[in-house]
This record gives sequence, C-alpha cells and structure tokens, in this order.
Amino acid sequence: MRIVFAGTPDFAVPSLRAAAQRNEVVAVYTQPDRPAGRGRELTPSPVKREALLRGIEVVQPENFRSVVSKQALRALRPDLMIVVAYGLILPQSVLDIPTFGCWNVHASLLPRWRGAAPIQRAIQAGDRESGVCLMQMEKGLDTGPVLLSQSLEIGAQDTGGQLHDRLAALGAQVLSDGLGLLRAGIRPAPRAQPEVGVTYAHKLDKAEARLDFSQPAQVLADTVRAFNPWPMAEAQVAGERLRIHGAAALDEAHGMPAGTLLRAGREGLDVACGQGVLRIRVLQRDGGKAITAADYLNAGRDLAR
Amino acid sequence: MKQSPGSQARVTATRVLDAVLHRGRSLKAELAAALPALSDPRDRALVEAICFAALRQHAAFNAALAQWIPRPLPRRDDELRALLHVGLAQLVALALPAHAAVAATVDAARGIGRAHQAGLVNALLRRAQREGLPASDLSAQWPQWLRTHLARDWPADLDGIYTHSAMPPPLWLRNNRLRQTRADYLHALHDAGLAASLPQAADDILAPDALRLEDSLAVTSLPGFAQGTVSVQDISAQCVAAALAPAPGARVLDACAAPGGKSAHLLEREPSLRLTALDVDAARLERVRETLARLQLEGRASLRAADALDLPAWWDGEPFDTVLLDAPCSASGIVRRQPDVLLHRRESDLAPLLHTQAALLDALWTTLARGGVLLYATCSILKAENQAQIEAFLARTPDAQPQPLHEAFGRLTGQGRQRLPGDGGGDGFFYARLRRN
Repeated sequence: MRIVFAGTPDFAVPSLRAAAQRNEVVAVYTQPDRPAGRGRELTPSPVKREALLRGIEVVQPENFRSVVSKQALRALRPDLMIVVAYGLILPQSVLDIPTFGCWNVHASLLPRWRGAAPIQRAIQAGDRESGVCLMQMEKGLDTGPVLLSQSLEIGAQDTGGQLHDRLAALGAQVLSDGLGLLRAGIRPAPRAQPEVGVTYAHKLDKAEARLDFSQPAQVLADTVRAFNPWPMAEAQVAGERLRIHGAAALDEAHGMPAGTLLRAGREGLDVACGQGVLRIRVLQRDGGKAITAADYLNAGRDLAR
Repeated sequence: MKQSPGSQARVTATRVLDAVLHRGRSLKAELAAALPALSDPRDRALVEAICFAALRQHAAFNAALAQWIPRPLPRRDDELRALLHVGLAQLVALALPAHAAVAATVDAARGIGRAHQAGLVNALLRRAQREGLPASDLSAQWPQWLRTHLARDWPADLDGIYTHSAMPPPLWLRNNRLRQTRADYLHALHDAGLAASLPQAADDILAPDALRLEDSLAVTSLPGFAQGTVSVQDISAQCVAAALAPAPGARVLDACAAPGGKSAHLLEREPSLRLTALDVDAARLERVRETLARLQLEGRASLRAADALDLPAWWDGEPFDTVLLDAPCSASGIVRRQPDVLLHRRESDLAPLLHTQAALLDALWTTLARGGVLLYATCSILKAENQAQIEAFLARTPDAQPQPLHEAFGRLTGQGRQRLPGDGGGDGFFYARLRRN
C-alpha cells in the first residue's frame, strides 16, 4: 500500500511511526520550516525531523491551490493519505486523489470538540473522557464519518501536556488498527457523526491565559490544567504577575471580593473566586522557574500579613 | 481439461468452509482433518489463510453476495456459497493476484462437481475485483445477542473489540527460559531473518518470556521449536503465570490443563513445583503430555484425566497451595484466533457455561489449602462470566478474599482485571486472584 503522510507537530509523530512501520510511506507532507527560538532560525517541524530520520521524502508546499502541488501529489499514486494535525486545509480535489481517500487522526470523541485545540478544550470544559477518532476526511471542518475510535479517561490531575502525549500514542494505535484492517482486506465502515453534541474547540489564544477570578474556582482549576504547558495560565496575585502551573479548586464559601488573597501557606496561595477558592500550588515569577507555593513564601514573600 | 495449479487447495478450503459455515463444525477440527491430505506445505498454509480470512469476514461476504445475486442461494447451493467465500477471501483479504485467484477458484467449481455454475463464479469474482465489497459494519460479524452483551459491558470500547477481533493476531512466542535467555532467542530469530520484538514496557513485567512476531509462520520453522526452546502462546495467556506466581516447591493444580501451555510455563519458571495437570478429556490430556515432552519437562508433572468436579475420582485429599482454573467459557475474547466462535455460540450456551464455571469454582475451592491462592481465568470478555461470576462466588464463599492485581493485567472490573482483544497486542482475557483465609 502506498501511503502519503501529512502532519506537522509532535502530536503527529507517533502516528507517522505507526504508518512507517511496514515501510509503506512514500512521502511526508509537512508545513514549511518556520522561524523559531531566540535566533528566529528556520526550524523543521517534528514530523519533518522524523521523516528525515527514516529517509522518507519530504514535501512542504505552502498550500494546495496550485495545479503543480496537486500534480505532485497525484504523481505519488497514493492509495491512502493520512492527515494528522497537518495545519493546512485540503480541498476536495486533493481529498479525491488517493484510492482510499484521506484519513484523519483527530484527538477527540467526535462530534465533541471539532477544530483546532480539542485536547485542551476537553480538559478546560471538565470532561471526564476523551479519545481519538480515525475519520474519513471530507470537505468541512472535522465533519467526516468516523471509521474507528477509542476512548480514555481524563484523570482529575491530567494536564494538557500529559493528555496530549497519551492521545498521541492512542492515535497511533487507532491508526495502526485501521491500517491493519486495510491490509487484511477490510475497509472499516464509516459511521456518520451524530448531529447532536457538536462543539467547537477554538484555537488557544494567549489572551485567554489570563485568569478571571470572578469565574468559579473549578473552571479556573480546569483551565490551569488545560493550559499547561502552553500557553500556561497567569494571574495578578498580590500585585505580581504569576504564571500558574498547578492549582486546585476548594469548595469553600468566603464572602470576599473575587481576586482577594485569602491565605498563603505551605499548601498554596488561596485566592477568592466568583464561587469557591482557587488554591495555587505551583507557580512561576517573571524570569524565574516553576516553584511550589512553599518555596515562593520561603523566598521572602510573606503574604499572609 | 487440465486443472489450474492450486485448484485442489481451493477445493479443500471450500469443503472446510462449507462444514464450518453451514454444518456447525469447528474450524480447528475440520482443518486438522483436511490439511494432511495436501502434500505441499504451501497449499496447506494457503488453505488455512483462506479459511481464516473468509470466516473473519463472512458477514461482509454474505452481504455482498446477497446484493449481487438477485435471488438468495438455496440450501442446496451451500457448497457453492462456500466456494464464493473462498474466492472473495483471496481477492479481498489476501490480495492474491486476481487472475490466478479467479482461475483457480473457477476451476475448483468443477472440482466440487459444479461445472455448470463456473460461469456464475467467474462473473461474481470479476465483479468483486472490479468494485470491491460494499461497505459493511465490522459488528455485523457478531450475533445480535453477543452485541447486546458487549454494548452493555464495554460501551466505550466496542470499536476496539470489533476491530481487533477482525484482524489476524500477531504470533506470540514464549521463550523457554530453562534453555536460553530471551535476548539470546531474539538474536536467534533475527539471525533466521525473522523480525521479532518485545512486548510493551508495562506488559514486559508480566510476560518476561514473551516475543512478538508480526507475521504468522509455521511453528516448525521457528529455530529450536522441535528441541523445545520455544512455544507459541498468546501474551495474555502468558500473564497467567505471573498472576499465579506459585512459591518454589508449591503443590499446584492446573484444573483445565489441556493443551498444557500454562502448566509448561509454570514449570519453566519454577521447575521445583509439584504440579498436577488435570483435564476431563483424555485425548486432550495426551496433548499436555506431548507439550511437556517437547519442552523436556516430562516427569515434572502428574497428569490426570478426570472431571474436576468429581473430586473423589482424582483428588487424594492433600490440599493444593495454588490452583489455576482456566475455566471453560464463551471464548469471546479470542475471536481473532477462532473466528468460528461467532458462528457456533448460541445465547443458550451461556447459562450452562456460567453454571459450570460456578460449580468448578466451588469444587476446586475445597481442594485449596488455607492461605492458598486460586486464579480464575477465562478467555472471555463478557462480564457475566468474569466480574459477575467472581462477585457471586465471593458472596457465597466467606473464606475467599480477592487479591488486587497490578494494573498492567488490564482494566479493573470488579475484583478482577480484564484485557480486551488487542490490548498490548494480546487476546481478550480475564484474571481474578482469590486467597483462602
């Protein structure tokens, strides 16, 4: 089977490995190298690095609007194109090129969380369950029928980063299942997504990372988990801007204005919220590294007075 | 007329499939009876591959044929239907070169006395080749009553269960640690040009003897197989020894021992065990004897052919420190290995199975020493046979205490742990460890 793989970030790497296990990947599509880091040097994507390591041809078109880019894909004679967090919209004329069409590995139990940031939005919304869908792509954003899916539990402590890694591994597993079936001559049956329960996972925005203490503590605690490691929640506490790595919601009535620092102790900094109390446990000052609340207080921040 | 090469293999495959699909026969038994008549080992492998592939997709094949043939085939055409399944399996699942597959299958129509229908066979297979099969749901392969159970027991995992049950399993090997280290055997496999890998990290703790081959091959072509350096055993079954972990010198009972893989594994891990391998079927017990002989473990176990429920017939009254009850069950966790399970199991089979499992638990419990451990295991994924069976047993057995198993054994379900088909590349399997106070 001739497979073309399209993907860009870390999330797609385990899937690429799964697809390449039997040397079936004839080319890897990934986004053009982008400037990154302090030197703003052109940096290859994680998927490109993995492809080069494996000696697979890498193609990096800016988009698929030109006839040339479509012809190049057609010349690869793909049986299947696998798309995992590629970051480019594929027009119908591209989706139609591979014999078995295009499969997408998507990090949510569709139709919950279509769109750009399904992993973080699931945590932020307090979901107890997430998963991966293998989807037959069609025009439209994550609307295609689902071929296979697998669920997992979101732990009460899971951060965006941890869930990302587990879902990336699960994605590779579901993809490998799909490829195994195809090799056995079985085309998994597409099931249309239900009409109900559709939600959109909008892209994460740095501006959202600023915590608004008038919200309930549980919402803020979920946001802190979801935004770790990126964009990382932040807030003004006792007149200082802190990035917040870990926090918990306390179900406690306080009668104080939102944003008031109620207590500061070894357990954490307790801030009054619209409902309940947010206990900030791990934090980071500007230019510093992540420390526990206890270390923060030891460093001379005697906030309790 | 000259027969095309390989047409005899298609005739054999057709007869086996006809017996399994239409006359309730077991795939394993039919293959065992039919294969020796083929002299070429490649033909034997082909027949096996065709039969497994056809049974893994018989529902999809039936649906396609129903769509393509205007009137349903009558019962007297069962054999023709089996032949069509043989043809579709070659084209769709095994992806054999189409001209050869079609020619040999059309020829086989003559071989089974259906020369007058050869044109129909040719036309249908050409159509399959042109159009492929219409899409069908993997779950259609399962009878409704089992689907109902699964939807209730594992709502979030249905896809995975149906998917993995439709796929050919990897070939799991068990290194005989008495003969060489696993690393040495891994080298031997690589030297023989066979790509093998180790289990996932978590499973490696439970199955430190396991090796995985992606592609199936005849066991006799494994280096050292005849000399007993290696066995074929699914990783989920290999975990049983880790769950049981009998102490050196312990008196151990393997109550449903045939074909002897778990007994042998226990002895490979701990040769000082005083092991009794019991099985109700004397003929199957002979397999245990052969297994132990090949692994050079003969004389290490005492073999008894008797009904485990009939204690006076086999038990000398001396209690066991450890009992393994690998109970008879629906086999719903090993459909990928025995696709005919889905054809032959009836809902009415379940009640007698549940009854037998409960009776075996009760009887064997009385042979267990105080402080001893019984491991209840099945290759089922139905909670009725696993979680509920153990809960009921605990409720009626005051001196039984469940013992927690490491999370690598599988998903927590009541007082036991469950692996679903495909978890870690293994079969569906259930384990519950019970201590007698």
